[in-house]
Amino acid sequence: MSSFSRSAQQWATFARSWFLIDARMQPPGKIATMCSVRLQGKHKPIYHALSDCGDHVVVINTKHIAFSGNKWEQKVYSSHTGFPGGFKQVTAAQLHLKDPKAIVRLAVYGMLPRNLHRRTMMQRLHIFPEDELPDDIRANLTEELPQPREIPRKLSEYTQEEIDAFPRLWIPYVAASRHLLKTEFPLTITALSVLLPLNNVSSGDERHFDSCHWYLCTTSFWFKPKKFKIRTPIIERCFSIKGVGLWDNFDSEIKRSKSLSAFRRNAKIIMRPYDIE
Amino acid sequence: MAARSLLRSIWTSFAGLKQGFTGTSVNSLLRVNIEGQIIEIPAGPQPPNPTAKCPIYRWNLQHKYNYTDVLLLSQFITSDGGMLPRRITGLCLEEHRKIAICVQMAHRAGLLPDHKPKLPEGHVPKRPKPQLNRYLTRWSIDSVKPIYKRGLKWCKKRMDVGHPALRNNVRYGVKPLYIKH
Repeated sequence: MSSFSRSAQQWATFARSWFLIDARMQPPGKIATMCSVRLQGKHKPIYHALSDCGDHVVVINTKHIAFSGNKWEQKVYSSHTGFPGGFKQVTAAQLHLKDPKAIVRLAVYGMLPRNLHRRTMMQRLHIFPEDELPDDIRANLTEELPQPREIPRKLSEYTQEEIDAFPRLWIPYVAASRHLLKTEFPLTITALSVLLPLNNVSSGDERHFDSCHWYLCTTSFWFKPKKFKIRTPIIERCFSIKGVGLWDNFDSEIKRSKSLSAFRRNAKIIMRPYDIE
Repeated sequence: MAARSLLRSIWTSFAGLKQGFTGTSVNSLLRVNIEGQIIEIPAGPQPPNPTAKCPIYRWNLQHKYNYTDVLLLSQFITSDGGMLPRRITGLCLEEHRKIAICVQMAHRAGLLPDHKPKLPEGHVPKRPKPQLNRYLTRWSIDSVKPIYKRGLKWCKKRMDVGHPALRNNVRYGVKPLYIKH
C-alpha cells in the first residue's frame, strides 16, 4: 500500500509467498497450470525470467486426483532406464497406485520452461498425497487458491427438501394414456388376459355389463395359424376399463381393427396381462 | 388443473381359469370386483410446454442437462441404476439415449452411490478395486486399452472425454467444448 514505508513496500513486492492448492477431485492438468504460473512468477507484474521471482506452491490431496474421460487407462507414462531393454511404459492408474505424487509432479515438470531454472522451481513445489502437512510448511502458507473445477454433488448429498422441490418430469400411468385422454385425469387401465373356450363364442361382438365395468369380448380378432387353412377366432383378451366418456369410439375401433396388434396400435395404450389367481 | 387424484384399484375375488375349460358361460368366469380409492395429491409445478410428447421437451430442458444433474437423471433410473424403458417414461429416442449416456457417466463418476445392484449376502470381491476418481468417462473402464504410441502432432491419438451426443448443449462461456483431449 502507498501508505507503507519504502522498505515495507519493497518487502511486499519481492517477498516469496507460499500458496496452497487442494487437488481433491480436480484434474491434474489444471492444477499443474496453476502451479507452473506461480512457480515462474508470471502472476506478478514485476515478472522477469532472470529475476527469480517465483513463489512456493504446496499441493495437498494429490491421492484424490480426478482424470476426465478414460485417461486413467489410456494415458501412458514412458521412461527409459538408460540400459538396453529398459523402456518402461505404465498407465496413469498403475503409476498413481505406485506413487500418488508422481502424476502432479510430472505434469508440472512438463509445463515449466525447459531451462536450468526448472529444477529450482521444482524444488519450490511441495506435493503431499494427503491432508497432512509438516508444521514448518503449514506456518509458511499465505494464501489458498480456489479449485479450478466445480465438484458436482452426489445424489446422497442433496437434502430431502431439495429432492422434493425438484418437479417430477413424467407420471407413470397418465403418460401411457396421453393420446386418448382429453384431460389429465389419471386413468387406470387394466387388462385381463383370459383364455376363453372357443366353443362358446358367439358370432357378433359381445359386451357384458357388470356393475361399473365393461368386459369386452370380441370376435373381431382373427388369427390365421400357418398349419391350418381355416381362420379360427381366438379370444384372448378381455379388457376391463374404468373411465367415463373417454372411449366413445371404442366399439368402432374394435370392429375396424383386424387383429389384436392393430387394435393396440390404434388404441395406443399399454395393455398388460394380469395373472388371475 | 385441479389437484391430481390417484386411482388405486384393489382386486377382491375372481375364479381361476385353466386351459381347455369348457361348458361355462363367460359371465360366471369373469367376476372381478375392483374397488378404487381416490387420493388427493397437491398439484405440483406445471410444465411450460404441456403439448409436447417427451418429458424433456415438455419442461424445455432439451440441451440444458449434463451428467451432474443427478436430480433429473434419478427420475429415469431404477433402484439398481439401470434405465427405465422408453415406452414407460415416454421419452423420445434421442433424449432417451442422451439420458442413458449421462446416467452412465454419472455412475462412473460416483454421483449415484445408492443406485447400485444388490450383491448377494456375504459376497467378498476377489481383488479390491482401486478407487480412482473420474468424470466424463465415455467408455467402460475394462474396455479401454492404454495408448502406448500417441503419435506426432499431425497424427496424434487423442483421448475421448464426454460424449458427442451432448455436443449441442448450451454453453454459457466463450470456451468451446472439447470432446478429444
